[in-house]
Amino acid sequence: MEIKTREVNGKPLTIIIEYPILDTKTKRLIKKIEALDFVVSGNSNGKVFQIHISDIYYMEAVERKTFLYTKDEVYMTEKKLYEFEEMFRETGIIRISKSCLINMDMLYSIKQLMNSQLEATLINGEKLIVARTYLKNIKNILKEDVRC
Amino acid sequence: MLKEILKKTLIFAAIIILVVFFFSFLLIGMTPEIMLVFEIFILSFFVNVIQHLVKQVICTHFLINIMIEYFSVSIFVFLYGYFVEWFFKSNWWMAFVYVAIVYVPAYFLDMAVVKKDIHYINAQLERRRKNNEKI
Repeated sequence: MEIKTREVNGKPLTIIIEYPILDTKTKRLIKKIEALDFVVSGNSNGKVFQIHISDIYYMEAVERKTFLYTKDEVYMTEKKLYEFEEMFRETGIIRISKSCLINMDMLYSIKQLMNSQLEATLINGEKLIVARTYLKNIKNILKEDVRC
Repeated sequence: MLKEILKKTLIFAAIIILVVFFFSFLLIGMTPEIMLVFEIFILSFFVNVIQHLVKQVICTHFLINIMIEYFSVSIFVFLYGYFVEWFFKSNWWMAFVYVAIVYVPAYFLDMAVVKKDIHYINAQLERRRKNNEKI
């Protein structure tokens, strides 16, 4: 793969992807780049913000409300967790428990605790509980990465 | 790979048993052996339904989950076994023992599989980080 960049003044950021065949690797790359441009609306202190999906560390549903966690902020959104799951399935946002979606790019490691629970550590040190049923989601995403 | 082969082997064996005993039933009628095979298949179907339902109300605590599943399945096996006359009132505890014999090794097997998965995940995450650093 060859990466060429050039500075063009007065034009919006443009990414051109040239490929011999539109294979899985190319499709995933396109989805990844598209994800950088996806924005969702979230409320914080009564103000509405546009948050880039790539800035979200994880999403959590608490008492029928969905919260988006970025590096330093927490936003509330009207959208349900399953809607985000369907929208961003291809972009590395995956379910790790009944009430939580995680951005795979923010995942640092996973470990098993003494009580058999699974704990995910994010790159900012935050810890989340992973349900065993969803461990295969993480594994599958990483397997696809290896295949690409 | 081996897991997939074992899984397919078990499914294939189950289909063979079911087909052979079904034709035996058509040819010679219902015998206690044929009845037992069908009873086991029916039991297996309902145990899977119970496991599926338990997973729907999943909580993140694995030990609590497995205990709920174990007791639900044991109670069902006891009731079913009592109905098809495998157990009697006096030896009701046998159902719990039989289910435990299956669940205890399954628990340890699951622990080993999860440990392996975690190792794989952490190795891949490390590989991703290294790749990103190169870029």
